[in-house]
Amino acid sequence: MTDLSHLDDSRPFVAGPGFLDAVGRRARSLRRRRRVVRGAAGGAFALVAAVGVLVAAWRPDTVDVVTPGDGRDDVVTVLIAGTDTCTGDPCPDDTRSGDGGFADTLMLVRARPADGTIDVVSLPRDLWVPPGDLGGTDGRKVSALDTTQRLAYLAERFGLGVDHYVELDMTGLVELVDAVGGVDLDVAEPVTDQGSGLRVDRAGCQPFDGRRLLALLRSRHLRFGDGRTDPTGDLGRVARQQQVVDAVLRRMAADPDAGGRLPKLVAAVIDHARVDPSLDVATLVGWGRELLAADALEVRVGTLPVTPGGTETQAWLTSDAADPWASLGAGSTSPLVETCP
Amino acid sequence: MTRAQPPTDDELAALAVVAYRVAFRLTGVRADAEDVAQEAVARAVVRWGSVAGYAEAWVARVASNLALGLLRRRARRPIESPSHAPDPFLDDRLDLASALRRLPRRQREVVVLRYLADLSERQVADRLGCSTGAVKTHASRGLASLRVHLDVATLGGPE
Repeated sequence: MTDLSHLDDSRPFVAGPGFLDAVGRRARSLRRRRRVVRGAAGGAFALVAAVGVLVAAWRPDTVDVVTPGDGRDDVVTVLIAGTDTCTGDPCPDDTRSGDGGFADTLMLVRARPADGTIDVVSLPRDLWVPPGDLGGTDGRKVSALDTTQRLAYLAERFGLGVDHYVELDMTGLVELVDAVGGVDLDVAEPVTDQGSGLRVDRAGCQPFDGRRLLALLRSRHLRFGDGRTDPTGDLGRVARQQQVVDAVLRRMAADPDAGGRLPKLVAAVIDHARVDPSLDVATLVGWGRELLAADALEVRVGTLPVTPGGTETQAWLTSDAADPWASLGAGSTSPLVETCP
Repeated sequence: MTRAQPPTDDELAALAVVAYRVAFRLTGVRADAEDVAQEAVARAVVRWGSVAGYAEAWVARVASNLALGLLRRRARRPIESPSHAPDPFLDDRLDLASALRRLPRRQREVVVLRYLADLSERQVADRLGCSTGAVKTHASRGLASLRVHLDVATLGGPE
């Protein structure tokens, strides 16, 4: 019988009044810190709002879609699309520049700001949408749909009323990550990818800035030290994306300098995102504040369960899932990267 | 969902015992384990509304993360502490911590809750929102992975 009790303290621990008093003090100080961060973030928001009045461009570009919403106040559902468009400089060789973009990454996010819980379900880009679900005669991969179709598909297929839509380009992601000061990821083994330019020389916990993280996320042809290639394909990439999302969110929540970072965070999104018309700066800042003030963020990730399918010329993935959130908590399969403990 | 009642001292004391157990098994140092337990329980207090239903599992996880973080920072700058009596299990603890870090997240979670916190399969299943069968599977896979890295003796003898 596996038993670790030999590692226990020989003296039994009892939480006496002194201990409980200290817990109470610490809890009060944590609550105060939340209010301070909210206050500081509120100050930052006032600044953003003041500047916004003067600078007409302080609004993200909009995508002409209607987000149905789910009619609930305590839960926010957002569809996030990462596009492989680069609007910064320099851009990796194999990217498109300029407007619009192919949705490289699709994540359905459900947040309960009051509880500090965030659920993230990835939709693999090769997910096949049958013709019936679109009301047309041709099936298509979900990544090739336009935004209106994507939202319609989610509503149709899962009865999911999305509250907001956010499309973030690659430069936006790089700036977002740099705005939180980068993230630490635990890499299982050294790896490279010629396509994305990724180069990881050692295993273990190590820092990733925006640029390096982008390379990791874009990697599709990973090669390990002994020449092996990564067999996990798109699902492996999705698992890596989830770990990154988790790491970025936790970094935001754990950051003592949170209030000071908020303006840069918001600016990164505003400049490099397209959003639905109902999403304004005030809401974005509010989300930022909630995340930064969250004391211990609870992030659950999942991937829509899929089975491979397709024809001779095209491979895709199909899904029978009735509830996209059912896959939460199942965990990723042997990811190359994880958040550092 | 109705808001839970604020925690009683007895409830907090019980949580502290769980957090301390996890933290001491990993660090072997009373002061460290107490600090970790205080922090974990305080964080639970602040978000009692959402964790009340599975508070023991929650503080166990927070305590393990805090303890692992502490050990990692210590490894970079070892502290000479003559006031500590030498710990006969120090190597076991460090090996355990490093082996835990290598586990896939879900296995690590289950191993921490079952074998560091000594929670029941039912408690773990409730916390993770899965079946007790799934808990058994994750636990046995986790232990199998740990055994690759650790001495049988560290894990308290053969299964």
